[in-house]
Amino acid sequence: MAQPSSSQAIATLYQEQSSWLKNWLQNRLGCSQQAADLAQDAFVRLLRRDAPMGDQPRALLTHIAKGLLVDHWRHQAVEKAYLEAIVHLPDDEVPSPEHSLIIIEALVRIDAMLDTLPAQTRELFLLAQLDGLTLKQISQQTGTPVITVRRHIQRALMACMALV
Amino acid sequence: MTQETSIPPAVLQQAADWAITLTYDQPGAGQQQAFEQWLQQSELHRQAWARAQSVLATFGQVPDDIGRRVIKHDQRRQQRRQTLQLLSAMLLAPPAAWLAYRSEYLAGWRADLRTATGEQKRLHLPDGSVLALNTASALDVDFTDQQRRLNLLQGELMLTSVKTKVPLPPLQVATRAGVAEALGTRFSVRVLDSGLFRVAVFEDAVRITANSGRMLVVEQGWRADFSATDIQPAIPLNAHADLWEKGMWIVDNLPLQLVLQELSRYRPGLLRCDPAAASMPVSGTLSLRDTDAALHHLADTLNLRINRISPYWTTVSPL
Repeated sequence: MAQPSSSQAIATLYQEQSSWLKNWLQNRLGCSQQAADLAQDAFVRLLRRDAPMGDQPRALLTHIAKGLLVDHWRHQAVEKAYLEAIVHLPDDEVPSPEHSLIIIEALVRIDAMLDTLPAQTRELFLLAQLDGLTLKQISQQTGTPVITVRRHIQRALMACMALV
Repeated sequence: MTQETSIPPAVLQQAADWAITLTYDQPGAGQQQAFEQWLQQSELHRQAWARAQSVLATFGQVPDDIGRRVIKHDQRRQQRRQTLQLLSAMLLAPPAAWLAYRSEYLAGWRADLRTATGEQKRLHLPDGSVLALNTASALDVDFTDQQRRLNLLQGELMLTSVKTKVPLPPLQVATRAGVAEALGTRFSVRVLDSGLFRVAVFEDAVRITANSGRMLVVEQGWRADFSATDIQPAIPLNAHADLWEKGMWIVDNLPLQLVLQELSRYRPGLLRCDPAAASMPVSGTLSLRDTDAALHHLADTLNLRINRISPYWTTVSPL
């Protein structure tokens, strides 16, 4: 069971630290509105944690905030890349706005999954998953034995499975 | 999402193996049957399989050609992962005193700077220069005792340098196609597309050296475009060409399509122009910091309809 009045502890922490955290984020985001949003998210995440806060609340908040920053930048980068990608499409092939949102969210998840992989593993996995090559074709194309290709792809898949 | 029951790694591995066999390999009929038997064997097998399918389904939500473009483009971003070490304090610090500058400068000062779409930033570099970043820009700053170099990767910057009593290494903006060296105090460099760059000089002069070795000195009041091989002749700058630093744009008789193209640099998402309105002439002052206001101004003066399909999708058409 959580410590008694742990939500009180967080409320106090919020009062003491929220403007510090917002400034910390604003220095990195350059935007006060985004900083306020992420600062809120950080406290929400803190609330959701089941573990006690420990005696380094600021360090903990910073740790959470860094994770949120990475997510935020990832989302921005993916969205920008997506918009650049569909610019090339003829008008009738451009996905609808609702569909675009779904695709962007999927791409963000994929980007996070791929992030955890070493370069060669990622390459081989993408040859199979994005370019649609069979193991045999990948092996021919890269000069890597089929068994090695399979091993890398298995590693990639399992890393991705750990995140879904 | 977190799973309540913990699936043993061996089972996850089996599920991954089956996913590979059935998706990326050429399974025979016997294997299909063997898979179904494996799947029926236990609830854990089914859960593991569901996870594997979840991964593939995520990819499946993305149309192939889009996925290829976005994911391959995105992987190049890996190198800029060091941007997490933004020098936050430096970004907002006032100009360093001359003595303080010397010690920072000799130690080497590096930063990765970027702005999001629609964002502008202004900061002081260790030598007292003022750097302004326009929308959607990315650059590396690399100051050492041999050089003062900015590597412009994306977007647009304005550099206003200071005249120092002590001679300093040359101040340069490097691009993929060549280098623009400050021979004076105020100029901008902009990425037009991946191989083409524009230098505009507002005070004194700038020397452009393209990768091919071609050189051109551009004087105050002029601009020139350059690529790796070639430098175009300089042409006079429009008055107010540096007003973007103040978040404004004075348009002088440009077709609407070009105006929207430029506005879309400052606006996340898509801004599309109906072909029926594309050639309507536009003149006036537009806000670059509040592109919604700019669009409304255009709508009022030209009788246009602004259709906001989503926060990231706007189209402009005749009424």
